[in-house]
Amino acid sequence: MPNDLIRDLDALPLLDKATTAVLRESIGDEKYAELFATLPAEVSRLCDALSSYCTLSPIDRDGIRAAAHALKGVAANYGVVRLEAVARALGGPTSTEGEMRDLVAYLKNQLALLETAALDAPDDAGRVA
Amino acid sequence: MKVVVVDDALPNAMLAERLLSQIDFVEVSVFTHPQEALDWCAAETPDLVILDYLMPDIDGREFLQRFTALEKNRHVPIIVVTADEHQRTLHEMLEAGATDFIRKPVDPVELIARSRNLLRLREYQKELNQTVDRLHVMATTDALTGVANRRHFLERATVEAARSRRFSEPLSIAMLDADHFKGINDAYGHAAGDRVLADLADACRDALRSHDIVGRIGGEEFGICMPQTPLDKAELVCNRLRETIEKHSVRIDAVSIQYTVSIGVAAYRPDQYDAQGVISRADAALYQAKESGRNRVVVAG
Repeated sequence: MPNDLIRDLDALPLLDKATTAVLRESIGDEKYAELFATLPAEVSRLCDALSSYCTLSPIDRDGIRAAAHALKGVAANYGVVRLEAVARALGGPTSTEGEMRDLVAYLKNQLALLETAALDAPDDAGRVA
Repeated sequence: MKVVVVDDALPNAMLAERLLSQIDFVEVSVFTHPQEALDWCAAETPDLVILDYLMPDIDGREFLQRFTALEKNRHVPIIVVTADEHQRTLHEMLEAGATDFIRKPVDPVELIARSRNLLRLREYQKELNQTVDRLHVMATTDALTGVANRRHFLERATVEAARSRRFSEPLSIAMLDADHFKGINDAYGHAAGDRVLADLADACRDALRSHDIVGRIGGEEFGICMPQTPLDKAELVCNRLRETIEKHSVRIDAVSIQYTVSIGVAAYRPDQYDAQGVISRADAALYQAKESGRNRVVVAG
């Protein structure tokens, strides 16, 4: 994967402070933590689907696009901007097969951070990584 | 008010559920499988649907088609939620029957406000429908007896005559009148007379099939329209009704009122006369029944 894309993704916070603040205010801290805790399982499920599409030869671009779209929706709703950016890149029309596989690998690495974030119930700063 | 959330991504569905639960008097049902939501919506009628557009197996477009194919769901508002940024997709959603749409990330205030607005409109719509239903009943029903009023009976009889002509099926119409009804009113009062008329309507309904039509033509005169019934069968039905009425009585406090009816019955003959014509012939037969002693059925020749 091009270094500049990685650099761009890494430069993003995992969570967007403004979005998480709005959610906290809307549903309360306790409910927010409870709902946020459901994210890792959903992202993991989508990650597995993306991995399986990437193992095909040629890769299943339609499957990847659909899973990336679902990931984009979940990530956007909870302000997980880094994963939203990964999803956008995956759903983009210009990615090569190699880039897509690299993006899925990158996504897998982000799962651990998301799980930590869920355990810590992201603080007001919105930055857990 | 019932709100249904359909989203295959559990975190999104739960978030929507939590936000919508903040609206007063709202009960939210969450589905992550569109088919389960459709099954639920076939049995129940939601007041608002929040629908994720891109889902596996059944996508938003197919969901909208199947949901709105049910007549009872046709006017239920649907908000589509999507991460798709193409204007074309939004046009497609609205064409497919979506009432409104919200883009992801969902703005909590926007989701609640749009939902509340649509639920308010839905409430007005339901009130309006109930009022229309009530007005329809009032416009077509005789208030005292609950049977069709004169105008509605004549309309239904005209429709049945047209059907009879189109399918070459028999149709008979009877006109019925309570005998010496003025005497009942004079002897027991108008309230008792009203009870007798209500009793007469009940007796007609009990004696007839569900698709036969009973109407109060005016005063103590009733009409009976019997689709798919030849004249000889109609005569039998009318005689059975006449005997039933003759044998029973209306009890009002300590008083028991017995009464009889006269009936004229005629068959519809499309080559000779229209619906009004057969009613006139049945009326003439009723007049003969009265003239020849009452408490009898006379068939128009």
